[in-house]
This record gives sequence, structure tokens and C-alpha cells, in this order.
Amino acid sequence: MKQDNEIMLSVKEGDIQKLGKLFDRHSKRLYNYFRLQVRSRSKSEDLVQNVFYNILRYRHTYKDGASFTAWMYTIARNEKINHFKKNNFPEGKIDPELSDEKSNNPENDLEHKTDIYHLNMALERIPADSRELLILSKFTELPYSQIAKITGCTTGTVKVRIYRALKKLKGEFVKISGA
Amino acid sequence: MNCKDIKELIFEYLDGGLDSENIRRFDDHLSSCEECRVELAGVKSLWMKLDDIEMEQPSENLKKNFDNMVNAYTLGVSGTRTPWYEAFSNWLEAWWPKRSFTQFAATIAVLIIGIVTGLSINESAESKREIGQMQRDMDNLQQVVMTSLLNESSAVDRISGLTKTNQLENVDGQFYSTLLLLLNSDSNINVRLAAVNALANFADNGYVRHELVKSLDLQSSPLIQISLIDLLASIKEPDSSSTLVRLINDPGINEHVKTRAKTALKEFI
Repeated sequence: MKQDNEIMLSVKEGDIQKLGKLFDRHSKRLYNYFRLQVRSRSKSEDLVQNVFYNILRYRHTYKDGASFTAWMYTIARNEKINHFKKNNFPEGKIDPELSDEKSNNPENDLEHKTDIYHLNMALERIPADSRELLILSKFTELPYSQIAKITGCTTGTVKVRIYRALKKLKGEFVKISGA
Repeated sequence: MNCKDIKELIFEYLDGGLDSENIRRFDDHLSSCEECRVELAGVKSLWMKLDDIEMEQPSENLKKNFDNMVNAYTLGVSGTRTPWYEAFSNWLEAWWPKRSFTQFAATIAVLIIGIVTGLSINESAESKREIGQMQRDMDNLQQVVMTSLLNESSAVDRISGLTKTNQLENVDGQFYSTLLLLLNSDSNINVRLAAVNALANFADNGYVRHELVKSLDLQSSPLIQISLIDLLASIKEPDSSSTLVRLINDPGINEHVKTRAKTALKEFI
């Protein structure tokens, strides 16, 4: 978004308080990007905070005309990778002990749709890179060309990989729900 | 198009990214291939279903911590504009002899010069000046410690800065805010713990005590919660009792924290 670029340029030039505008616009999506992968609300909030701290620290590296969102998600992706490394936990698996998302169990929440619960479970079971691609393409509003940049491949490859990720998700979803 | 082509282009088709010629060829294949039709329907329905996963709203703490972080960063940046003491310290360091024998000799020489000079100066005028100088030194030390706390990127350096705070007296509100910012928003748990210990030295200040109670509500780490509870119990801060009760009744709080909160609460009853 052009406006994001202009705001980020002001931040780069020293108007640090303007970062709040970018935070208001993007923090919710960014939080959900982490939450759906890390499965801990408090940890996801810490990671969002780290991303914005790094945006401030490395603001001088932001280039005029670049996509702010793609830059931000590149930083977010590195934060997520570091998080899994630091906790010595393979990214592909989600530690049930660390997860604070237990309230999503339909037994605890009668109004919750079983389908969505199963879909969430299926998302947890597919490989980390497939999960990330689905989250990036569904929840961040990033165009495929930017997802390709962030993940280091071509736009065509991104689409084929999303299809494959969907196939894996479908396989797990069918296993869980018996659909 | 064959089934393999369809699988390669299926997402592009769903996404509306195919040109009209390819759409026609895609549709032609679908009309004659049951397997690909089923495949497309399955993928499409799951792709749509993903939209039903709700985006959650983060807690209010996220925004509060973000504001604290930006304020702390702004303070830190403005603090780096006048680092004259750093320049002075670098200048002194350049003059300082590198060999230990020469260092020793220089120290003795400075000591002798100091004693002789001290004896030859009018005592009362000197003591007034000394008090003024000491006050300025303390102010400068506070500045140096604060700047290091806010600028140090390494957690070890921030912790080291926090341990130096016990040398300070007569600090101002801005200094307390800096310590509280670290306690409430530093990403490193050890820094937050060091901030609790540093603030314990200033717990006789009403503002600090009030903010420590508020901080207990903000913290999510059991370790920090426990050290804050211990501190509040040791200073017998009565205002913390309602927060302790809230923690005890909150089902999301760690059991060890609750036990500690119950013990602390007994101190006030």
C-alpha cells in the first residue's frame, strides 16, 4: 500500500511516533499470522512486539518504494524461525504443553463450529512450510508476487505449492473429521 | 490439457489467474474428467472453508506494550544526541597508559598530586564545590545508566546497567519510568527480572509502589509474577491485595503463582 510506504519513510526519517499508524493497521493480521503457527497467544503478542521493535531498529534499511507489508512479513518470518530455534522445537510440530489455545476445544465452547476446530487441527498437522503458505495467502492480504518474494520462489511456484498445501490439509481434514 | 496440467493450474484457475484460452482448455478437460472435477470441488471447498477461521483480536496489553516500547525508544534516541560524557570518557581512555606498571605509577602520581592540591586549597570553599560536583556527578551517572538501559541492544548489557542502578540516589521520575518500561515491555525475561530487583531499591517511593502493583496485572510470565508478589509482600504494599485476589481467582494463572499470592495476601490480613 502506497500510504504504508509513505508512513514508513517518515519513521525512517525519525518520526518514530508514526509507527503507531502502521501498528494499528497491521498488528491484528500479524498477531494471527503468529498465532496460527505458534499456537500461543502470549508468545504471539511477544513476537508482534519484537517485529515492531526490529522495524524501529532496522528502519534505515527500508527502501523507498518497497512493499512495507512484504518487508514486515520478512522480519516476522525470521522472528518465527528464531522462536522455534530458541525453544529447540521443530517448527513442523506444535507443542501441546506450550499451546494456550485449549479453549478452542468444542467441548469447552459449545458455539464453536466443529468444522473449524477440525480445520485448525488439520492446519497443525501439515508441514510447517505448507501451513505458513496457507496462512500468508489467506490471512495477510499479500499478493502472490509478494509471498513469492518472502518465501524466495516464483509466483507460479507459490500457486503450485499452495495447491499442494491444500491437498495435504484436505488429507488431514478428512482423517480428523471423517468427512 | 491432461490431468497433470490440471493439477499444476488448478489453483491459478481457482484464483482467476488463467487467461481465457487456458480457461477454455481447462473447462474442456473438466467436462470430460470426473476425477479432476472432484479434485477441483474438494480443493475449492477447503479453500473457501479457510475463510471461516476467525481472526482473533490481540489483548489490550499488546497496544500498551507497543506504546511503552515506542516511548522507551524515543527516550533512548533523544538520549544519544548529547553523549558528551562518552566523548570525554573516550578522550580519557586514549590518555590512559596501556601497560600495568605505567598505570600503577600514573595512579600513584595522581594520588600524590591530589593530596598536595587538596591540602593547599581552602577547605570550606572546596567542600561547597565538592558537594556541587558530586551532585552533578550523580546526575551524570543517572544519565549514563539510563542511556545504557535504553540503548543497549544486548540483554546482558541491559542487566548490567540495571545492577548499577543501586548506586544511584535522588533519582527523578523519568528514571523510575525507564525502569518500569523495562519491567513492563522488555522482551527478555532476565532483563524484566533484573528490573524487579532494581526497582526494589526504590520501593520507598509511592509512585514506584503504585506502578509495581499495576505491573503485576500486566505480567504474563509466572517467574516475574512471583518475584513481583515477593517484592510487594516484603514492602507490605496494602494496595496490592485486590490484585492478589484477582490473581488467585483467575483460572489462567499458574498454580505456583496462586500459592505465592495466597501467602502474600496473609501478610495483609
